[in-house]
Amino acid sequence: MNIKQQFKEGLITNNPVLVQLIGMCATMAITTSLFNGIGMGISVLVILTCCNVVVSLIRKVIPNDIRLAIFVLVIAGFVTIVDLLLQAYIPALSASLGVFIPLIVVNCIIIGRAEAFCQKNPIGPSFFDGIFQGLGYTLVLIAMCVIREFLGKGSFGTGIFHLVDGVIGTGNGIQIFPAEYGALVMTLPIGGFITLGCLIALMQYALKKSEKKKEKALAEQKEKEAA
Amino acid sequence: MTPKEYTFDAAYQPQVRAKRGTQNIMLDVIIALLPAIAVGVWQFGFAALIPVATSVASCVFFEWAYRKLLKKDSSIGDLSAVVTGLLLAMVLPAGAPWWVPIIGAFFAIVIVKQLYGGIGKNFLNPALAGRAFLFASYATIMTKWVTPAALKGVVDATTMATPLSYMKAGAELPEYYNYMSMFLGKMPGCFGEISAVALLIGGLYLICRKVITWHIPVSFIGTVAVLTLLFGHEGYGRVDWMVCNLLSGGLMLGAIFMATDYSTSPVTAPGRLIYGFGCGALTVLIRVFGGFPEGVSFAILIMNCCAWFLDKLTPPRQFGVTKEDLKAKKAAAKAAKKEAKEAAANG
Amino acid sequence: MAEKTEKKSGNQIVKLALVLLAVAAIMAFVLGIVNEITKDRIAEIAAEKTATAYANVLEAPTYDEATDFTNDENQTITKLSVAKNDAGETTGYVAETTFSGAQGMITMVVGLDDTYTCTGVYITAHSETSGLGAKAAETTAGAWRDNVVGATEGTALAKDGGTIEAISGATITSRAVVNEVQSVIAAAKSLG
Repeated sequence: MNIKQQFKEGLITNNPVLVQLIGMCATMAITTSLFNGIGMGISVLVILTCCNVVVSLIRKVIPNDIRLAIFVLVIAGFVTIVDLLLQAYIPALSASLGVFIPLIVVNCIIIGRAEAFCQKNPIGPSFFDGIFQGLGYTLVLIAMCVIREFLGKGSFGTGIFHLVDGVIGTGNGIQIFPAEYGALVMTLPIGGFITLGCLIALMQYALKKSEKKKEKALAEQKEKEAA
Repeated sequence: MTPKEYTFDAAYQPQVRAKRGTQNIMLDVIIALLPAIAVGVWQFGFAALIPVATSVASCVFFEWAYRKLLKKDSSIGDLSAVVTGLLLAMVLPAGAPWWVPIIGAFFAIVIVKQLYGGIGKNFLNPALAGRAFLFASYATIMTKWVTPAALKGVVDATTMATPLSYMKAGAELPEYYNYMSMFLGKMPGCFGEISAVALLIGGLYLICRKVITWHIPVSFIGTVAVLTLLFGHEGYGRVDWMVCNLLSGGLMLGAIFMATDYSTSPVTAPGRLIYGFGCGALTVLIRVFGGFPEGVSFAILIMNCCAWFLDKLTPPRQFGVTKEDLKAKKAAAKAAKKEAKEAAANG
Repeated sequence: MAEKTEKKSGNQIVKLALVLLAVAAIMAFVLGIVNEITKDRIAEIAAEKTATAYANVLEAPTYDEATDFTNDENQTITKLSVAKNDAGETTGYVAETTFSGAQGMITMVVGLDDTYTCTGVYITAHSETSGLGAKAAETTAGAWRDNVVGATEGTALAKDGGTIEAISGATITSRAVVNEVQSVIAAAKSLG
């Protein structure tokens, strides 16, 4: 398992949201502004990386029977730490993500990676797994935010650009077309479902296409060899 | 997993080739819509045709572009996109801005119809889903009702309240809304929904041409009539309440043109009756208890999702199996069950 | 033989419990440290937020907490203070409230002057639909919440026969806010 392959898996071929289909609740709920998306993505990335390292570190010490309980303990601990830090130092993000930060405890991505990857792999790969899977998650969040914000409110980068008094998390971002023409439904939960569904479909389409290409290339190669 | 390919012979030859295809049926639907369109133009002027035109054009364009982009056979020749475009324009408020139908058309054609595989494979009525999308997105535009030509002298405003909004508030209807004016279509509303008589003419044409059967419209409208007559409403006479409910809003348009869409309604007669009943009951429930004055579109969309289940619930009798056979089979199953129960009790 | 395995599994359980305890203890220790570091700042931010909200609805040099008021049936008023000027005279009332909106609980600060007329509302936390109910929390000039200023006893939404226009598409949120102002007026009056 090398880093390059892990990078590709986390971001594309084994993307947590678009391929493994885990951690979708928060994905649909908070992707209404770019500020939320980036904030949530980085929070998950940090928590995931920390949990991965710790789980991998203690993977040989913990008894198999209670591994899930211990995973949950570790995850809950890190989530609470991040929650407290956000409340203290980035209150705007904490206020706008609300309950979805504590809910990372039950986000399948983290316990899923602990169970499927870290308890079988050493610290190095586990660390990179956390980074790349977290990046994959963040990228999907950003894509959803940009799409939903643009279609729903006609803006880009709410909370990041055009700040009010330079305070992060305020303002309406760059207005690309007047907000009254935006399809409000895209910022509602329904819009989250539709956007995520379309993204997953697109991803599967692209993956299938590249797979076919590979098969074709392989078949051609074989033919050549046979000849 | 790829689905299994089935091949079967439909019947012994020689077969009679029917001339009617999708294109023919769709053409009939377009003809049936003409009276309603005429009333729309009569009440809202030729300017009201602009959203109709953009709606039809964009539906056809999206259908063509999507199929082209994915290298599939073009399907605009079957006219189904034209019908979707027309129907979408019919359920938008008269005087809606020209760009609104384009967004609705994109949602209806690309998301609801083509992503699920194109004509015959969508599980929601595309036009209604487009309307629901617009309704949730542009609430102010979708609830602004232009004063029709017939009421221009009576009401001194460019927009006015529909009969349904008075009924929702439980207020008495103004004098200019009487049975006759509502039946003819002298009231504000969506472009194609205002005239009950024009829609009924279209419906009769469709039934005569055997494009639709009577089951869904009759059970849909009948259910609304029976429920409103039975329960009435405070401040209204029972019959009054029933007639107002039948003539206002999109009931006729929904029951005749929307609920009867082939791919989103059941195929068996009993299934269609239950489906119509469900649409009617939900319409009344939403109108009386819901947050919106009108419930026809949501009722049909909800029942669209149940159509597959109704098809399963009411399988047609196999050819050659008589009613007696079925009865005997049922009795045998019952006896077997009883026996098993007794055996379980004994042993 | 059977006894032996039982004994062994008993030991096993003790071992599992100890491991779990150890992990929990370590996590708790770390959490304690982080809590110690962030505690003061979080409290500071919360106090700042409340102070902003108070000043926003009714400015006064001192707010004295009152306890002997009559709460409404759902106990929505969490704190009621009497605003006093430098001379110690009552200039109005400020209440912290938590009540249910359309999507979840809304936390709001309500200000009244000494004639029980609403001087402003300020929503500090909510989970209403963005674009609809969330408009109630907007604080920019000309936002919907300005409509509530001036509400007195009995003021209701236009839809309920009153004078305040609801946010379009968010009647439930608007009604909840307006009704809560009524509750606060009743509670302030009960102070006498």
